[in-house]
Amino acid sequence: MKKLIFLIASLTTLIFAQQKPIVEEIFETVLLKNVNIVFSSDNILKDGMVLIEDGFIKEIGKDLTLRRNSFVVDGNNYYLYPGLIDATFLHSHKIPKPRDTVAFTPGTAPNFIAGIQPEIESRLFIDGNFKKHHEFGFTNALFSFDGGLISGQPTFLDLHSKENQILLSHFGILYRFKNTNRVYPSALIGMMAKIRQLFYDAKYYGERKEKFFRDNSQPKVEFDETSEILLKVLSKEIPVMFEAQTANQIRRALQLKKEFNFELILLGADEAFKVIDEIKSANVPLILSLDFPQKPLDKITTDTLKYFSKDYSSYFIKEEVSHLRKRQEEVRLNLLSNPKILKSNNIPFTFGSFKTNLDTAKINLRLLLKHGMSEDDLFKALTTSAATIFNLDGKIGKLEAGYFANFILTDLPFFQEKSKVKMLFINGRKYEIE
Amino acid sequence: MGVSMKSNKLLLIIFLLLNSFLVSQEYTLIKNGNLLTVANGKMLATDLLIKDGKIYKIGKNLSSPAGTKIIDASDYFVMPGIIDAHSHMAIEDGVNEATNPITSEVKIEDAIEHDDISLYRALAGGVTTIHTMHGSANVIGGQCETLKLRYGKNPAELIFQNAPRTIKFALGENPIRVHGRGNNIHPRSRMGIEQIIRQAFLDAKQYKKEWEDFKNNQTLIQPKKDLRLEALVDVLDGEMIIHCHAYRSDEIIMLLNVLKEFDIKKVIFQHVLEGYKVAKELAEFGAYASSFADWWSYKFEVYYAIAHNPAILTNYGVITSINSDSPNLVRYLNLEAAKSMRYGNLNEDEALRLITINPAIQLGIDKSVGSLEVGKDADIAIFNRHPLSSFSRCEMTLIDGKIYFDRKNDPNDMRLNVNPNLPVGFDSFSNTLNDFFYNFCMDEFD
Repeated sequence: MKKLIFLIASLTTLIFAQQKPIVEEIFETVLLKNVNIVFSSDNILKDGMVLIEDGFIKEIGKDLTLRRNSFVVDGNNYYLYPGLIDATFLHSHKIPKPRDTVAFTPGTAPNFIAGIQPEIESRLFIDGNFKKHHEFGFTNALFSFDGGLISGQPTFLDLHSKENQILLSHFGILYRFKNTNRVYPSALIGMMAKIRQLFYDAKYYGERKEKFFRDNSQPKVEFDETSEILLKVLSKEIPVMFEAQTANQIRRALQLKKEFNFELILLGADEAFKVIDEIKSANVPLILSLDFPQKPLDKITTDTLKYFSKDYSSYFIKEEVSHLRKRQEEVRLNLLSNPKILKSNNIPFTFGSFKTNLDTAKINLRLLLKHGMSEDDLFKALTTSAATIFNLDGKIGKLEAGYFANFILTDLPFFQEKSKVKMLFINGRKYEIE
Repeated sequence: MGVSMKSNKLLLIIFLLLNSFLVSQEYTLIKNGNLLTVANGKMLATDLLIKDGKIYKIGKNLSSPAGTKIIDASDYFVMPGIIDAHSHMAIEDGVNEATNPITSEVKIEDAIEHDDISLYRALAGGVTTIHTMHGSANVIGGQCETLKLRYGKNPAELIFQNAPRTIKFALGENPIRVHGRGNNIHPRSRMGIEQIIRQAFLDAKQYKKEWEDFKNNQTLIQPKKDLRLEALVDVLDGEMIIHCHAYRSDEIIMLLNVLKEFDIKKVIFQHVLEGYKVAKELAEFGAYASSFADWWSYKFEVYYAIAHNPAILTNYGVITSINSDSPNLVRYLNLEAAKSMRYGNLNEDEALRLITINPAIQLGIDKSVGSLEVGKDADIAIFNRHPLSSFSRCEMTLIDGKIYFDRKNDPNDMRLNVNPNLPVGFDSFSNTLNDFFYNFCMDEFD
């Protein structure tokens, strides 16, 4: 028993120890000195200084004069970059079900069962655990509920502890071709029809409401949360973020945009290179995933065989297997060259961490350097391009006076394999990663 | 002098324009083939000239302009491209929206999977057009789509332009199993199915009236737009043709009666395996039938199916087709048609009609495809022997005059879409397994 208690005690200390590796410190004025400030790969200010005041960058340069009351931080000759922006960060969360749920059939399921929840506000579920994001170098993220067909309204954050972190509380609505329970709409054909019907319902609701407030003889309109939010989409007040990976999914999202004329941001868009013209003419920005397929396996492994009840290895023809591998490798290379093709077509894009393991994302990012993207391209995509998509130009994404003091410090240049993020400044608050 | 210079220039421009016009015209000559025209019988050793995707001339020793692509079809049999009136190929993520007995608002058009490898396999069997349908889980399923198998083109380019809109209905065991037994709601019996259809039409009538009243200023409040009812109004108005999955004779008569009640004139019964019992009634109504050649006993309601069904229906004057309902069977629909010569003594021409002009009539596309006639689309299948012989094999398939399958130039791997994440070997297997398990009518059930 004593042993057990000891075990639990040591386990809990271990867990707590892991949860708090980041030290947060808040100062009004900070002078950061002894850093290599990387504006771009060929514009590095060695032994530079940054003056931060009230969370903003006040001045960048050499030999800045120390002001009264300012706190001096030694940059240890680290490399300083603008903070990266994670353009979509999905969190799963158990949403409590409404208490008075009436009986339903699969065809008449309430919206929250059918995964239609535009009313979900992601800002209510922020848990402040951004360790992995900090280690990667993200200082900002769009935080979104990982739900069904309509997953709710994402929130744009400064990635620090709970208070004063929300920059945009309701940024758009997240749509995806995903069914949650086996209720209507369960198949793609049903989802497309349901998306349309919801928009028509919202339009009708808006018109009825307007008439009611204008004219006393009109009947009262019952409040409808879903329609209220979709009306904002139809008036282009907020954009639709549509998760669409394949070329056909992208075509479907674009088709819906054409029908209902909303602002669209594509999420995923792995096969965007197949539908460049359509994306270009629709003038749609993209949030790509940092997830790429692995190299195809060399041999038929036990991994292949586990799908079969019998050993079929003798049925595989060697030439055929090598051909199949070649085709898979072709597809993999195509997917990897997606950002390059988008860049050459001047289609704005950024990256998001959704469906990506952040531990391996950096490897994938480095992989892109071999497929037509330069370090500056990648930084631009992860900083200024993202800021533009979220209408935050002039506030985040650059190392310039007047911008938010959101930046990261790495011990080695960012893209080097062993480079680690050592320190972050988010809105002027210092975080050290131990 | 100046004037003549100008006129010279003008002539030159006209000449260049004409020239470019001539160059843009594409000619293909299928030489010396045995034409099975379907419209005008058999024409041995005859040429067929294609211009800009349409059949331009049919005759002996046709001359063709320079640059014409020549296909030598000596000893080969040239027939109109085969049409499958019942298919579930090229549908992404579910053939059924099986959550409600009525889902008339869903559209197959929204989920076309243009890179489905089954399309190429169908081309290799001489098929050029398919009617890809919602499944049979619901009493009133979704809106179907007629596709030309332009494999390699985008989804929108596969759609058969100007084909009439169609919708799937289903009677019998499938909707009862899914909704009655599966979800414990209506319909629980064949009687229930009848009432669901009747009620749907009544609701649609009411919806239509509400809109008419509003437009005539008889009511002030605008009705709410309902895609489900809107589709059903189109069915009532004859703008959308019903393709009804039905097996038993009693339920076929039931639907005919319901349609008479609502003054709906057009219906195609799919499967209709007991059609032979009510062939007279089908003919009187003017209903069409699309049947299997010789499938039976695969479930209780098809125990009385017979291989003579298509022949008997044909003899009663019902426009009948033979369909596949399967990405496998679609590859040898010619042999399926031939079975009606063995069972029911149809003649060669009648048998060919079952897979060409008759399905074209049923889908409302007979003005452009279904037979080899001047002016029609050049959708053509070329077989090495008579296509109704079990020794025959498709050599080449053309759509709009373009070659989409050529046995002599048939690469080993025609997949347009490869999954890079699956283990090697499993990917190619999974295509076949998927087709086998999931691309049937009753997708995801039983």
